[in-house]
Amino acid sequence: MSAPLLETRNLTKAFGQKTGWLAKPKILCASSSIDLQLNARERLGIVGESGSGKSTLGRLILGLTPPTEGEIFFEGVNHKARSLQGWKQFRVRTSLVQQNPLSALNPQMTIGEQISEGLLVHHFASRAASYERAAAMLDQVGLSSAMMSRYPHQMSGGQRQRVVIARALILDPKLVVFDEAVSALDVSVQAQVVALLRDLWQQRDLAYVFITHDLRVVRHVVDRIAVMYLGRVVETGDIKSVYEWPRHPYTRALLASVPSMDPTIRNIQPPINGELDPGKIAGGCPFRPRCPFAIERCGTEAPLLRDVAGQRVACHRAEEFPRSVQMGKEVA
Amino acid sequence: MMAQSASPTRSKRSFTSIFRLPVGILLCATWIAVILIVAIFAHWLAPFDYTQQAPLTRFAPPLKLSNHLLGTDFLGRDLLSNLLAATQTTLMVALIGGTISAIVGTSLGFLSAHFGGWVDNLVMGIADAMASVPFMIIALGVLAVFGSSPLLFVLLMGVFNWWRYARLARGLVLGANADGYAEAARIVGVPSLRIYLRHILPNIAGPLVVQFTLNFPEIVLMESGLSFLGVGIKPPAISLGLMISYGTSYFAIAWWLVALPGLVLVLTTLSISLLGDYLRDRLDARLR
Amino acid sequence: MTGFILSKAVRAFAVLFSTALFVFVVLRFSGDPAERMLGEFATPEAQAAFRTLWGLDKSIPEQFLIYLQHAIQGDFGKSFADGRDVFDIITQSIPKTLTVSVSAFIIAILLGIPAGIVAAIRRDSAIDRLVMATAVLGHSIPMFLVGLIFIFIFAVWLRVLPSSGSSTWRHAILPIATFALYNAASISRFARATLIEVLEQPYIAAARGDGIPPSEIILRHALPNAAIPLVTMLGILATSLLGGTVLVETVFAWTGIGAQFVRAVGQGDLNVVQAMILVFTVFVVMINLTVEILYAFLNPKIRSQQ
Ligand SMILES: Nc1ncnc2c1ncn2[C@@H]1O[C@H](COP(=O)(O)OP(=O)(O)O)[C@@H](O)[C@H]1O
Ligand code: SF4
Ligand SMILES: [Mg+2]
Repeated sequence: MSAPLLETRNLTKAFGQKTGWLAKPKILCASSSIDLQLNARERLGIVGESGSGKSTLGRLILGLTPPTEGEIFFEGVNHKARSLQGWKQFRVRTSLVQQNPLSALNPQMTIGEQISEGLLVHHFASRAASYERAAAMLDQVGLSSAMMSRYPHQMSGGQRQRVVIARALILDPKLVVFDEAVSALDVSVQAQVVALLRDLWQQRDLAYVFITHDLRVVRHVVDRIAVMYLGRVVETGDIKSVYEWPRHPYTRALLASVPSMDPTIRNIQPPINGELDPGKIAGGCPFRPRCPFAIERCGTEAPLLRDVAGQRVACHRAEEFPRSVQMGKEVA
Repeated sequence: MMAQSASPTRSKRSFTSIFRLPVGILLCATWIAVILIVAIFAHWLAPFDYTQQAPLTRFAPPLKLSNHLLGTDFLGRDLLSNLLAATQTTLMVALIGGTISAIVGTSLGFLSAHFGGWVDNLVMGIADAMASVPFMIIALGVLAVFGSSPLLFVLLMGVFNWWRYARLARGLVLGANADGYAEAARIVGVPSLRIYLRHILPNIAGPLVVQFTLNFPEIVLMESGLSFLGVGIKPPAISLGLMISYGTSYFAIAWWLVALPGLVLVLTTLSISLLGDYLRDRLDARLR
Repeated sequence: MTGFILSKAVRAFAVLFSTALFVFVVLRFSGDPAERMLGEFATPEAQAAFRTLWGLDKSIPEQFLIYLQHAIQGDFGKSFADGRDVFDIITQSIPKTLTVSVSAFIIAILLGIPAGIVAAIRRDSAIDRLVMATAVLGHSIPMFLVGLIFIFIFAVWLRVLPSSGSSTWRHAILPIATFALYNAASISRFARATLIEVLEQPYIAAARGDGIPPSEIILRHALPNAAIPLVTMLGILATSLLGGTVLVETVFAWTGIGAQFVRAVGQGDLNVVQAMILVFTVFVVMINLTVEILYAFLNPKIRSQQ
């Protein structure tokens, strides 16, 4: 097998939080020792509650913020070793789709100008040719090329997100990071955009990093999933097997809290209690304060990611949890 | 937030709504238009050379002599001609000074937002310092040390208010960067300079223009104050502040020498600041 | 709290010191003081003697130390214009300036804040309109013009007050009135805006819902919360007051530091200018220090840090 498209090694990002005048900044790890691998044409989902560090991971991958520690390799090249020219190339070969399509689009520029801008600034095409390609791209995302001369405020939310996707794909990237790309949309529109993402992936040589807090959506888009908790990956594996038999208590809780279509099991109380407090987790398992299964060992020894039946799980008791019939049903 | 105020149909909208402007604002706009025309064409409009003296017709009150519509001053100079020239100078100084302020301040604000760190601290530190010191005193000090020259004076007016633009632009750029469209452009490899000029600037131009109209009267007042004190515009040039200053000595016998330039000055600053307030209320909630 | 005040005081001193240094250096590099003082036709011997006398033959850092030493003892040299001791000029004019500006400031607060409160409570009433109109006018009329108008009304037309000079208390009335009215306009507008904002806060609505009487709401809930922005604003106003002394005192020929400063600037009397800038800096620094300390007392967050 060839080298992965994207690889992160021991990736860590710490934010200093100033709490007061002259106070020592409190350190908050938005991402902590993350090792990920993504092959070409692979689709990886990143899930976790809000504040778990998903967006930070996405920004690190795209080089929008420098890591505190660790390395990121894209197509075998370390971010740190990238020249100015290298960064330019990287910008061409990667892209981002943000959550809020309204703020992601410039209110003062037409749709056509915005989609074609990438081609123009990289001198890939003349103005006329880039407009033509932008129109073709619009067509591919299911919009009429009559939209070219519109402004963002003249479109619906779903149309805007299609525009954002078109702009992200115009340079024919190899990797696109979607950060809550459909979370702001209505459920019916969500389904359409998800279908579009699947189609586009079929047609192109493209890998996805699909960031979301919404477990219902992610399984329709990705091949593999990484569950994040307080900046750490606590479980990762094949999407199907993780959904069928989640091994980490946090993953299990997340899946159990997904509202079910079946009214008889809709009201299961999510076992996640307690607040997200990154301050409390010094030593031991970060999930411990909220974990109903915590044992003594969990307080003293931090669990590392290890192989458990084809998945990788960071829990001392990973083997002990049964395949949950309820959860399996719920999300099936 | 930005999208509403910055829509492309805005020009259309404001065109149709010209007829729905409040009367007061229309009056202000009319006065500003008149004063601008005066400022541009002062030379051709003036019935006399404004420096031309006529010892025999000194202190003629307004409407007394048919050839001196607004009367004459203590040297028999035509007041209307002086007023036209003074308005021109005052507006020119304020316009140039205001533009320098806007350009310097906005650029520094952009730099501050772009680089952050010590650049940000330095620029904002100087801005804070400028904001907390009465500029009148600084200006007087500088003019005392370097002597008063037109160039220095205009430059002084140019640094008077830059920090307002710097603070505003910095905040707006940070906001725009957080807004996503700037990052979206960055992500497809659009160079920073193009992002600032092509993407961010058009989106934050509204508040900057409003800031300009709000600052303009301040510069006019500062200019007239310094000229009134005799360290600003110097003869043979003339400004509204300087005219008032001349008139002060003959106040008891020739009130019009103070009243007329004073009236032009106040109407101008008043119109512009009312217009600025109106624009701010209409276009932009962030400046309030 | 003492630590807080101490650190602010240290910073204030640093500002003062650097201003002194800056002004000194600028003045030294902008021309030869010996030539300035004696005129360009003085003999080289006279110039050399002058330089030795004032230590101008020493290095700039040494000169600065000498200057500081003298300044601390109250020796700022003599006025180029009339040979008076600069220190005397300053000590004679500061009380004059304080008389006018402090009383004007107090009157402005006593006028402006109640007017602003009433305007905020009775939106769109006559008082509200008056407050807004004066405030807008205040932003558009140069202060010296207000002064001239007052002179015209009370000295030229009604002949009840002297127009200019600074010998009696009657001379102080017009400058104080001009100054006070001018600043009351901006205080009332700001007080109005701040109070309106506070009154729109949810906790005020909650207090209203609890049936607390309106006067109690204003006094106990709204005003304490409006106090912090108001103090900040009054601080800014106090420094701008300093700038205003220059105009008001000149208009009324009131011989405070403002008018003296203008005279010195006009005559190129650099010894006086230099000393006056320091005096102004001391005032600015003291005002800012006061504001910061007041602010700390008013803000429970800072206050509670012991
Ligand atoms: N620029 C920043 N400065 C300080 N803290 C930040 C910054 N960006 C993110 N964080 C913190 O990092 C944590 C993770 O944030 P984020 O990556 O946005 O999470 P998610 O996308 O999963 O909601 C949060 O606690 C957030 O407060
Ligand atoms: S290691 Fe312990 S505390 Fe952490 S998730 Fe597993 S059981 Fe819970
Ligand atoms: Mg996020």
